[in-house]
Amino acid sequence: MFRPVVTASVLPFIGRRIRRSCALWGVLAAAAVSACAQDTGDSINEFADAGMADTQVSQEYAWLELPPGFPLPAIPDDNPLTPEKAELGRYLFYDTRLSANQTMSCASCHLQELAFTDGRPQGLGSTGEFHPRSSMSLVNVGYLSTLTWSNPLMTSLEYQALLPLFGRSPVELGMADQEAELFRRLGESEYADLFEQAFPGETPAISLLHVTQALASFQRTIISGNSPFDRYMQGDVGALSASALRGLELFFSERAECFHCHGGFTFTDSVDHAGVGQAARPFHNTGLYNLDGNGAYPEDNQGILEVTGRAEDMGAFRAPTLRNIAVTAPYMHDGSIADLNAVIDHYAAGGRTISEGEYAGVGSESPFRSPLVRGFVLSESERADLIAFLESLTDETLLTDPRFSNPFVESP
Amino acid sequence: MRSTTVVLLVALSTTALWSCAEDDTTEANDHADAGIFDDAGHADGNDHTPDGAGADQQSVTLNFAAVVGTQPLDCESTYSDAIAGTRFALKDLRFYVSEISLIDAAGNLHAMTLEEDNAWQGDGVALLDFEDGTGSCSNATPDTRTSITGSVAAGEYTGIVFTIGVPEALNHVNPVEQTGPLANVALHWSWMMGYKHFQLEGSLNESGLVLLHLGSKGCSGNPPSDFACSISNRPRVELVGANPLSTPVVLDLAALLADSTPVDDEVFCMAEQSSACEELLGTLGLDMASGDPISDSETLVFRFGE
Repeated sequence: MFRPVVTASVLPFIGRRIRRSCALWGVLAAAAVSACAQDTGDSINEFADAGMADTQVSQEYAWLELPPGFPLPAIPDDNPLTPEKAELGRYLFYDTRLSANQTMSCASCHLQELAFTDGRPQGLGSTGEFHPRSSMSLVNVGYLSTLTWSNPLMTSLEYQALLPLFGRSPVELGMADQEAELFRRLGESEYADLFEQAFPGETPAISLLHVTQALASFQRTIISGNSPFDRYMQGDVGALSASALRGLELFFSERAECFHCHGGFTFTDSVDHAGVGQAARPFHNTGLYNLDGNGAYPEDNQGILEVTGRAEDMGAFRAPTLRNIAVTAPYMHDGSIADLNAVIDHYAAGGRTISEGEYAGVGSESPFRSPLVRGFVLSESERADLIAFLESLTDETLLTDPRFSNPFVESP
Repeated sequence: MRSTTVVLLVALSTTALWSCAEDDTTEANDHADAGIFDDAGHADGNDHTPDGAGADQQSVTLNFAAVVGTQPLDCESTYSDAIAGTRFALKDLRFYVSEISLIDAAGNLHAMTLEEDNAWQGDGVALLDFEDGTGSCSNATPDTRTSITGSVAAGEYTGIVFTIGVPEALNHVNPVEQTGPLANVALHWSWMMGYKHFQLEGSLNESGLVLLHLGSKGCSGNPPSDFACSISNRPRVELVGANPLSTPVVLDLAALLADSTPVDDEVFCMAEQSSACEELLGTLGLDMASGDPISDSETLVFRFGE
């Protein structure tokens, strides 16, 4: 089931490229980094079979409508994924009653039409406080090994829900000390049936545990795999333009090096799913800042250093998915790059140079910069090709899929 | 209104320090009654002792209070002596206490067993709460808690030692699956998969901020079981020279902030490696880098009230 659908015999054009670069197999094998160090062809197929043979999606999960080739997300034993839980989670996700002042919901910072980002450089909480970091896309979040920009500890969607709900610095939904009020609001609403259906026979049905489990369940169902790129991989040779195809080859080339961190079917190297044993938790410094010549990042945004306390972790952030990347501007952990063209400038230079101001510095000279960010030269047409490929990762159905839309709004 | 009452009580008796929150006189009376109840419990056998322990146990109540220098801490006042030259107002002060032992005259430690009340105390951990949800603390909760109840071996005591914080063995549980003090998600430090052992929030010069969220750091692994933090950040407090059963333990925010230098009206520490944290943790007797108590140092943040 998880053997890549596209084969060399079906698509000779792609097959030839694969045998040269091996990269596309890596895309579907979900481990581009390790796979691509190997030979081509058979070894990759073996890897794919070994890694995914036991992750057959049973009929139990047919309702998830997984895209072809996608494994089942990692589902914790104590929170089995059901359509009823996901539906309850969808209501909660869109409900402004989950913020203390009832002005915001999860969806306020994670808008479906923006692939569950918010278009802002940095997230804005219900009390007007900005988050140091940009709202991350929730697309395919069930396949991530770590969930947020810069926390190697944050691996559980259930646990993570506590942060926006109850976090105090910064305040997001601001529900700290408001649990009683939350239960009062939920108890006075349509939720009794939803909780009962999601957690039949469990008392109390309305609990924080169930709120976090339902939110996690809904997020696990937000799966994107119907972009032009995906359709191309499934055999629709017309799905990608000639320019996007050239961009695809650049993307997976050792020259541009994009795929090392943005590989796999999720287009990030932070990947976990059913069948994976111990998932890696990679973070990278891309040379975005170098304030002091010693690699310093701005004080409130220093990457996993803030969690690990290790000096060498300065500026290390998780690679975000590139699926739907064309609709999730602005970019980087702090939203400091406005568009894809400027993102390519950053990587082409092997790190960003800021010439003046408090953040001035030459990122390419940072001692913490990932060795994979080493710069490259693209012609103007190549740059256009690369952007065309990135744009081909936009899944229009995801952006409008009623399964993920606001249940409080009557559909037309 | 309350602050006026408290100030008056301070003038009359140091017992007012036991609580700056609600109903000081009631708490004082409860406290005074504790010894009488203990005797009755002994006379009646084991049934009345909270933990069902033997007759050599006595029920005890430890009282705590919070002050800023010489003034009781409350949510109505603005303090000019928390940090010299500034105006400080409380928003939140809550912390966990665990691993309590009373010290006898010979210097021996006698572990206290905490009552379990499914709210403030459980699993050997007590939560203390000094904000009442009024005034400058309006974002927090109306309930307060300024005492710890339990039992300890019968005897005379001249000191107390306790830990500020949730013990490591309990620190990484999922709060939404807990009851009692560990169910308090407002004290949970979700990004570090643990609890805030100590939480202080206040305003400085109205628009500025004092924030100390002290939890364990340097963590790695998969919670709850395969998970550990190398930087404990649990202050250990030892006080001697008074009877802990009749003398409140006083937390002085002025002593906590004594070494803090606001930058742009901000004293902000989430237990990172920073000068603000070094100053705050230092007054709590903690070495910022290791998170361990500084040897041979004693914190002035806590003292006996008499």
